[in-house]
Amino acid sequence: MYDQWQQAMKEDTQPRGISHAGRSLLPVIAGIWVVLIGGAFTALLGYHNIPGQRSDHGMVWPINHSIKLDTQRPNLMVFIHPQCPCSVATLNELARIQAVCGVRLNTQVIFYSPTEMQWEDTSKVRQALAIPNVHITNDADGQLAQQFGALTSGHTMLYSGDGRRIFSGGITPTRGHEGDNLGRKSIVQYVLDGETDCDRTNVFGCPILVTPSEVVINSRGSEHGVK
Amino acid sequence: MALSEDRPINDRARELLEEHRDSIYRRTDHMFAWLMLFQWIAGIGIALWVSPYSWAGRTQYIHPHIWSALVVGGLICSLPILLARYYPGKAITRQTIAVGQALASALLIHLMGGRIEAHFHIFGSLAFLAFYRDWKVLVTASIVVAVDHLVRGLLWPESLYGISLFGWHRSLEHVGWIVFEDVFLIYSTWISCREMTVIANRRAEMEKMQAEVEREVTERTREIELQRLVLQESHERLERQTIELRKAIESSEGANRAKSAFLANMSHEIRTPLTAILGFADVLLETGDIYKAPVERIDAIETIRRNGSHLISLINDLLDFSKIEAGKFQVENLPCSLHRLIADIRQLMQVRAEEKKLNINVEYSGPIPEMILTDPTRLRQILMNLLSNAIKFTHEGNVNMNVGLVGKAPNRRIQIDVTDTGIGISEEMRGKLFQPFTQADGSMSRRFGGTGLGLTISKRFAELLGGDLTILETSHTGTTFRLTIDPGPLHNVTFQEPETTYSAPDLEKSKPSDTKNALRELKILLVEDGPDNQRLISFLLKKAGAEVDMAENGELGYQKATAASESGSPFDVILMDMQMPIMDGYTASTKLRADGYNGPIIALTAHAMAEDRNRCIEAGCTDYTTKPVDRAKLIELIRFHAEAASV
Repeated sequence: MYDQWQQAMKEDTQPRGISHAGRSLLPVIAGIWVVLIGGAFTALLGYHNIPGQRSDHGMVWPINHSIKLDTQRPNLMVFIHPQCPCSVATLNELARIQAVCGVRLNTQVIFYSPTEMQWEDTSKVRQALAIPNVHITNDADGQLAQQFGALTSGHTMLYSGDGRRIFSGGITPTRGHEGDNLGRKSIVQYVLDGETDCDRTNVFGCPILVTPSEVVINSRGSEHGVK
Repeated sequence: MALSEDRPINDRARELLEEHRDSIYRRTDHMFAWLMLFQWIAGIGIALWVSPYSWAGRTQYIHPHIWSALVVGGLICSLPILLARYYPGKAITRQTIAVGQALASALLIHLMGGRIEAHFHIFGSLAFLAFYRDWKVLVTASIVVAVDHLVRGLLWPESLYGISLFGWHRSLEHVGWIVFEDVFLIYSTWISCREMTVIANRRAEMEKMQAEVEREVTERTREIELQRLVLQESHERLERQTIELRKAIESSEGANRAKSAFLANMSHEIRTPLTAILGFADVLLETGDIYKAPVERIDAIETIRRNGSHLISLINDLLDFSKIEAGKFQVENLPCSLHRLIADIRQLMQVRAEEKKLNINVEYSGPIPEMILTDPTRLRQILMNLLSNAIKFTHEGNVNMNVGLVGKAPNRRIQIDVTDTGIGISEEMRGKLFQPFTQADGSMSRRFGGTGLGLTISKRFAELLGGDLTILETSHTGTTFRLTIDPGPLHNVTFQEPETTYSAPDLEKSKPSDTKNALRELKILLVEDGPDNQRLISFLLKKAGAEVDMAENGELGYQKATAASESGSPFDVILMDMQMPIMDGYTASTKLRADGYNGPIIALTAHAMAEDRNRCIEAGCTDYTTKPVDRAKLIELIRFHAEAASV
């Protein structure tokens, strides 16, 4: 590509007789332009690929009064911030999981529901309601998210019928992006085959709860899950 | 630069191809400038629609996508738009646009959440870039897409492939689809460029042909211009010649008019005294005891009459010939009985023939039309001349006329052969016979008389009557003249057999039995300026029994006629001379008619030309007769009109 640009510069500057200032400025401007765009794209892609915070050290179903563990089926818990635009991709991916797994899963979508905020009827809630065999739960002030350690919208956890945590992470490849990803693949694999190669992926989304410093930001977090 | 004739056609074809390409590049640059601007705005709109805010619990922030759409999108389209605006058609511009368009695709895919449908923007962009018909921009854009995949695949493999490990085969698969499209687009571009080359070649050829045609047209135009100049010069020369010719014609016509006027005046001047000479010669022969006069005196009077008649004949021939030469002689076309005409002429000439003990025989070879359309006066003149000549030059034997209708319609002709048993015409003179003033020899005129104009005039008359006059044969035993004339249309014309031909009335019977007292009790006003003619004509009229009043000019005549009419005893006939001092006969007649005078006015003039008669009639005259006066004819004319007026 650089060669072509060099050739283009040569074609344009030599025979057509552009002014000396033009000849000297054009490559400089083009170079600056490429560098700026490269930097901007890198920043954008970095933003898309920086995972959200998490605090999911517990490996078993936590005790709570809101959601009961289904001992007959795997339990899939998806924590969503109802205003997070990135979570549209998570819900779309959830729909794809549900399309494959259906009633084999006990799927719960837990929407953060702070008091004094009327967030029970957002586009994300309506999108979740449209997915078959999904239970919707309002998480008042994020208590459930706190209990499960889900600090980022889109955080998904899979528990077996006996309460063991099988998987924890996001089901999108990057922030707000759809497409094949390790999270969706791991969940579907477990439901269908009873085992999975990956138990942890990065979560991409808006923070549901801004906490703790104990959350470790690790861009290569998915590697932790690889057995 | 348009193609000149001496410039290689390939150079011009290359130049045209470059022009065409430049036009396409510039047009596509402008199209992409607008497209990228639209994409930028659309990207901002998509970001605002899909991800306006980013949230952290209860707190919202402007989503980084908004800033990305605004800043990165603006950055991507800025340089291409500027280059398209300020450097359209340049390679750097379209290469920058190719890079920008590929990056715009990547940004839009990110802003739309990486949906698979958004990836079609890349394919659409490549298709749009193919508008440049430059395979290099497709390669550039494809390279940008490939680099994006490779870099992202290396740094964040899952974001591309769904797995956390980079795999060359996955990247190659993605790039492969781009290359797949590039193959078709580059092929299509190559085809298009080839067509453009063909078009450029054809256009160059066409320009070459056009240059040749223009050169040809220029040369032809120059030639035409030269021809035009030559023609213009010829035209001007012709105009000058025409003007000179017109002047010559005018001069000639002026001379002719002068000649005609001279002849008319001469005719008038000669006829006027001749009227008195012949009239008084008649008077001398008829008055007193003429039988007591010595023979020498009677011979002298006869000599005066004969020479006077010859002079009249000469003047008439000269007038006719003059008019024919001037091309002003017009023949009439009147119904005419050929039988009667020939019978009249035969009877008239028989008197002269009998003096020489000759006989005139008329034969008809088959039936002839009862009536033909011709000028009877001129036909009569021709036949009289032929018969007169035949009699003149024949000492013994006879004169034969053979009349017949020859030819087939529509070229049928009346043919009259006049054969005599005379002295014949020598071969030498035969060719000169129809030339004016020519006779067989100088002694002829002295021996036989004549002006030498008779045959010339007759031949011209025959031609005017649609035929000819020729010598059929001649020898020392006689001569035959052949006259042919056009009889006019013969539809519905009955034909007469020779035995039913008209028998001419006896001249003696048709002549008035006696002129004495023929004008008894008639009151006649004679308007005449010449004293001799006054005396002569008044003598003739009075001798015929008329009461004659005299006026010396037209004004006096007008006054006398008016006074007589007002007094209740108008003149029975006015004899009006036309050429008079103070007031001529034309004016006087016109005034009388304008005053309502209804009586007969007979013009008496020495002007004997055909148009003179018309002029007299137009002036208001009832009839017309010429000088010298034919006594019998004049008396008959007066009596006829007097009787007609009284009825």
